[in-house]
Amino acid sequence: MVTATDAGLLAIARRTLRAPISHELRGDLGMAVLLVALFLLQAFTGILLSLYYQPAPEAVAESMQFIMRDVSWGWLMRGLHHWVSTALIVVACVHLARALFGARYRGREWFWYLGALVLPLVVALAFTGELLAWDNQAYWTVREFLSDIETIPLIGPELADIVRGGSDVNASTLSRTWTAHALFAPWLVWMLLAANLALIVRDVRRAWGGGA
Amino acid sequence: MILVLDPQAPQELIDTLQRTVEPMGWRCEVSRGEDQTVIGLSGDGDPAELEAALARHEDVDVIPIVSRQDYQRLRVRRRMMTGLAAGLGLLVAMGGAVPVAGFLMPPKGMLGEGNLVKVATASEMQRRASKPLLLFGRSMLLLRDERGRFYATSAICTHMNVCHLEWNEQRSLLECPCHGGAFDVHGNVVRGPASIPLPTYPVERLGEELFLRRES
Amino acid sequence: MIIVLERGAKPEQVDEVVASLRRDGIEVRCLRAAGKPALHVLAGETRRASRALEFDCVEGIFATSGPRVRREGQRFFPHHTLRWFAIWMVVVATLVLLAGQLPPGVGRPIDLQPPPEHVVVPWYGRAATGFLALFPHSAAWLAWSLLWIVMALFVALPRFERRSGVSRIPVLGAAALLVAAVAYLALGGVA
Repeated sequence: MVTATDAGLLAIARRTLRAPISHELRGDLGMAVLLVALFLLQAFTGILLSLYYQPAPEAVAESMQFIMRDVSWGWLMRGLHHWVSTALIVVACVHLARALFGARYRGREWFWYLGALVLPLVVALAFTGELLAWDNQAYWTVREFLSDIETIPLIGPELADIVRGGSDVNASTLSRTWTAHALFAPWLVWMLLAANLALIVRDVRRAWGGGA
Repeated sequence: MILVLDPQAPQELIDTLQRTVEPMGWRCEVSRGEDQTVIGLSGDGDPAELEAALARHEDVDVIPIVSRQDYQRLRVRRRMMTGLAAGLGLLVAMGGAVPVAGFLMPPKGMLGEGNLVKVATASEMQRRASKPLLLFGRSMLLLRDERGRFYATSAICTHMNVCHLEWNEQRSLLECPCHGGAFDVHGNVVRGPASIPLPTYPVERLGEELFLRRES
Repeated sequence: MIIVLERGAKPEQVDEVVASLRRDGIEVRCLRAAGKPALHVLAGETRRASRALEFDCVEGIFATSGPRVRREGQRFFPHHTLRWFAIWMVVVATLVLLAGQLPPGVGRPIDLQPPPEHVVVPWYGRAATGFLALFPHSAAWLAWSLLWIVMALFVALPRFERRSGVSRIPVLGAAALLVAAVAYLALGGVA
């Protein structure tokens, strides 16, 4: 049975932490670390908010008022959750632009592919998150979005039904938005981040000869 | 003085340095290590002259050997900086923990309380008692059965939606004086001519107070 | 790492220090620098080297790896970790300020009639919806998906080499046009 204090794992962790970071990569790595930190903060505030938020149409507005007015520091958690989502998209785009125009992805293509998968997930998270307010703005945005989805060739109407959870926007729509936002999309992002980390560790092992 | 070079510095560089430095009156001792290549210099050469001569070598660090007190001072200073950094880190961590802890503690009011309307206190309702209510535009009866549980039902018989029901304590039934219909505390029809059960409303109890929830 | 001993240290004292270090797994070579014995740490985990300070004859220890670090880059921990932590503090402070000063409001309750004339799309979606509004929908979806696939697989595309005769200017021009179009749509050019 492999334990965490196995010489191999601990040595790998120590080697990864002590790895020298070449001058050309330090900007990219810094941005990536910032993105991970922002995502962690987002997940954390999201979990805290989910303690009070209620994803049912008749209870949403009240739970949100409750968070903003009655819960101590509730305004801070919700405000942070809102602004970190914007920060995530902005920093992700800057990271992409840097990688693109710096052409530093040669030999590290997998990081690009993973990033290309993470970016639409982050945008989807931001979008579904705004919808969870389930106010007038969100309701009509959902209807617009669904009518746009229906125009997708071949699978449009079926896809719209799946997203909507019915023939018209109802409580099931909110429920599905909640699941997508709080459960499914974060899980996918965590998988991708774990893959990213595995790649980094592999690179470090390769550079340092693999031995402890 | 100590010269520090890259651990993989080429031998020609070391030879060049020795040739530069020895005429100035320094004796060289070369040592190759994992982390750096070190050239220990001893002699009565001029340190300033040495630094000037090697200034153009970007890959060579010239490090003076200082006194015991200087080394002590440097150690003290480093410990102070580490302590300061650790203290700042601790402050930041505490600063982050405070809002999180505050957020987790449930606030005074509870979620959903805004919709609750107080209708009675538990102590004023004896077992098998009833209390008429007029809430949300509806006539209701607040009931307590023999086991002490609270119920709230509409007070209008569903037979013709006209007559007000009366609470029969002995039988724990809501009886209609008009045509003899009866309902139990759950609103089920016990005796005709009514066939539609009574609408019921959940009674929420917070401590000693009883509430009915406003429908949105 | 260099361990400096006092000028008058006797050979036995130096041997004692060397033996103690060797017990901790640290290999050293003894040099002379500026008239003092200096031990150059050749290999081993240098964390425990500071134990040498317990000896009276040891004056000071300093680590020096300037040239190697300049070539290889600073290590992740502690240098970059601390640097990024400082940057992170600034970022969090900014976000907390924004959260406090510009909080997201609580919107109006759902109003089924009448439908609003202008559904505001979030800023990151305007490029996509603007694009969809300009072209017939199926073609727009196809084009949009194609764009994303190209973006995702961009690194696998063959590079434009100078020698092949294809100049970079039209490529850069097309890229700039694309960026301008996205920015125009994102900033609400098409409702």
